[in-house]
Amino acid sequence: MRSSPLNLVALALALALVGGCSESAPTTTSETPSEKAALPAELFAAASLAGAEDIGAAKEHATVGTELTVRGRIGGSKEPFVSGRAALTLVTMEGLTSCKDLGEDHCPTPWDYCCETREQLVRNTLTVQVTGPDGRPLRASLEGVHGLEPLAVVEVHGTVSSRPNADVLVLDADRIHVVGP
Amino acid sequence: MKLLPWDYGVRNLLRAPGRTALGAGGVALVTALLVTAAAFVRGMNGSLAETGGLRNVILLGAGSEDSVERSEVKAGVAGIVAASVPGIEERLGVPYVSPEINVALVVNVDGQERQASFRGVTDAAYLVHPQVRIVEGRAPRAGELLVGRFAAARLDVPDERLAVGRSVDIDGRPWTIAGRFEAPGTVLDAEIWCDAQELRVATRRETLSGIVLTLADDAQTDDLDLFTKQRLDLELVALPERGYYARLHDFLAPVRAMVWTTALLVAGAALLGGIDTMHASFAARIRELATLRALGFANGAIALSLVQEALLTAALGALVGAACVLPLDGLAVRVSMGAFGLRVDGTALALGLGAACGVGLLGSLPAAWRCLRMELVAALRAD
Repeated sequence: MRSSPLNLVALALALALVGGCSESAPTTTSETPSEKAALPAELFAAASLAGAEDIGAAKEHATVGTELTVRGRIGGSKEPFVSGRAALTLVTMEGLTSCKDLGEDHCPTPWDYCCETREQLVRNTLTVQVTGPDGRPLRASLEGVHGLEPLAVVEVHGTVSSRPNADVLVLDADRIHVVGP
Repeated sequence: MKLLPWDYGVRNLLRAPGRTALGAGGVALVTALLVTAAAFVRGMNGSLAETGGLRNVILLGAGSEDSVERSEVKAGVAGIVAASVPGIEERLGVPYVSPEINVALVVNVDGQERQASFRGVTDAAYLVHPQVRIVEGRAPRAGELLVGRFAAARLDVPDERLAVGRSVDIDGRPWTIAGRFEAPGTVLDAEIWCDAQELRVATRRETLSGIVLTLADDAQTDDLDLFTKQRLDLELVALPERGYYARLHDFLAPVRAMVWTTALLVAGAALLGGIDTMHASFAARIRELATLRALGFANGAIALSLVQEALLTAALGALVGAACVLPLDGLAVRVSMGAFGLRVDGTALALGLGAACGVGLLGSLPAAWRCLRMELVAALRAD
């Protein structure tokens, strides 16, 4: 086969174009999947829990180790449920108003109580968690389970597990009754 | 179908070197422009995507998820986090928890006021931001600064103006540059770092902007989210650091769209110009093409040879254009949020080279079709 230097140059051009564009494959990382825990079967109660008090009132007297039954609404932030952990935040039903209460239809997250001051919100919010035998919240989300959704009214019975200061109250729940949206 | 020899198309390129050079030059311009546009977008995207560590979580003040500069976190929170959250990475007992202050400050450089991005840090910052490498000098002490390699571009001053040992004024007080760092491919490159406590005093603030921490391999962000819900009094929100910078990435979408629109408009104009040039070029050879048809070569074979010529011209232009912009790799570009380096990588080059071939192909086919559809006799008699 006859070939001229010009041909070789042209072939080199074509090869440079085709071969010069390779790129090393990006490295990827994968997240370790966590094993999900099942929520206790007796956690959700069909009947209303007796003696439920408001969150603000409960925070006045509750100490670590005391049993408590509270009534409130799921909310307090844009994401009141902890993803991947059986925990949520509950807001008082007395004194604080969400955008839904104000008839504001345009607020995409009325459960964050954005019209209230942070101080008011912190003072009237508590954390509810469902713990396992190790005392840590179960690796399961509560969102959507048995009607648990933002702004749903719930009654929770449990034991106070953490009270580092007057603003913080963590309740380890053993029974939850969903009153309704 | 009997094809024309490969040599025929190659030799034709040298029959009119001026015309070939003109065509290749046009394609080179298009390639250079597209590769530069791609390098700009990829540099911007890359710097935002790679700033956040894969296992890093940033704690911001609740309600300030969109801007670390607006965020306020109480000063003592870093210690509480380190003591309370399980699964934080540690080295020799030191937790990877970095309290930081992010603030834009006006810097006086030789009498001219410029805005710069400052990050007040502690030693833990070098643990949670492993991309940062001090390349000259040392970490800053009181009254000293550590400048990123693109900080000069951000301030719009020559690089040597921020050399180690020189100083700049902040609020009437001179700060000496103690070192320089690089954090390739991240927005940190354009920052100026100093001691967090010094920055708090200088900015008269009592709070931090945020806390960056690194989780151990088996830990999960959920634990941080849980912590923020358990300690409502601290008013925190936890975000994966990469997620935070991804939001900034979305914020800059209009800038990227503008760059691409400009590049595509120019490429479109080049394509139309290419079609016109090719047509003029092929039209001048109508009798030659008709002779080939008379010799028995099919229209398809002749068109293929013409496309071959066009593609070789485009390839030559593409390689010249790409070679011209290769030195731009890493060049600092100043934008409102800071500065980043252009990224002339394989993807950017492939885009430019592919577009150049597209211009060659799309430019030659219509011109070839218009020249070959003429009646053979008329074509042989054409002037």
